[in-house]
Amino acid sequence: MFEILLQNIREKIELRPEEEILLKSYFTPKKLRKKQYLLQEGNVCKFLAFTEKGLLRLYNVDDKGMEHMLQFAWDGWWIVDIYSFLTGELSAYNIDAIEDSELLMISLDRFNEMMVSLPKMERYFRLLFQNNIIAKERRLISSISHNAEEKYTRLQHSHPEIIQRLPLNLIASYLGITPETLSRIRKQLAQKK
Amino acid sequence: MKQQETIAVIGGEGQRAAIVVRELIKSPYRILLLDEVPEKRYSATSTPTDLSQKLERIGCCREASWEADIILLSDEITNLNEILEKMIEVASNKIVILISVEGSPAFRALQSSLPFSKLVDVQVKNGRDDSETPVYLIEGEDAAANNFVSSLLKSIGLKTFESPDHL
Repeated sequence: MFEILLQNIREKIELRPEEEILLKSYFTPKKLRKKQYLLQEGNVCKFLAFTEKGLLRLYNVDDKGMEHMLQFAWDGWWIVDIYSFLTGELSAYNIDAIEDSELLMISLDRFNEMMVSLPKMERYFRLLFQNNIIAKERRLISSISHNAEEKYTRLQHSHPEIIQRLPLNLIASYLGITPETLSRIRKQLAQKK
Repeated sequence: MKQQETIAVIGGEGQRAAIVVRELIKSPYRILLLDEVPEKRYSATSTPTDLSQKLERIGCCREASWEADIILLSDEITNLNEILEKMIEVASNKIVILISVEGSPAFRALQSSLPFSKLVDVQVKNGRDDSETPVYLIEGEDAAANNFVSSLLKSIGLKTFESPDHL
């Protein structure tokens, strides 16, 4: 149940076996079925969630009912509305399962307790948040300076697995383009090959 | 919209738990049921179709506990230790409610088997048969979990009081 999480942690820090056992005690295992919510807009994001298995999305819905994808999380990825999680404020986002998923969740209280009893985890999360900031910055720059085809090819290059798993309408939403534009781009790229 | 949470009910065939489940059905919670009792037992007024929309059957206590946010057990389960063993991995940090009676050894079994769960003992006082209104004594080491369970039971119309030791 904790295989992917421990593997992910071991890539950044080293925990002794007894520390790994202690680590597990802080997490809440949760199974979500496809389309079930982990977080609904207007509620507090109570958990930081690690995806052992499955696929989730974080998105908001605008006044016109359009969904805007902000993030996906598949095996080995974390997902959270960090502002709501840390402040206890109501979230403006939704997190739901695109596929049946197995999660390991940690509440803020348990997260803070874990930082005290396992100080090495502070380094792990610092590295995680650093990488997250860099990725968000790159995405922001890409959204400003790249055209639709460039955005798609960059995503295809950096995360080819997600192209295979996600419905095209969700990929289009994530890239900030229409499904029709995405279909046109994919057709053009296929013809170039 | 308040987010829907899931309660797994294990041992709902017991009379004590059935009284609670009957009221839980009317709440916004999603109920995952693990037992073989015909759905009619839980309501004298709802049709089976109504109940099937609120109650979902699941064949495995581990899967039910894994999906659930809250787990409700009855001390009337005959194979409690076997069930606890299956639940250990997936019940961590979840509220586990035991519907019991005074003197039941079941809560001690839970404390031994589920050290990382938030255990709440809900002892039924009076009303062991349907003619009397039961009152529920809430006990447990986690004050927040006790408060949550107390609020939950009150919200579905049940009478509760907390152990004086925890006031």
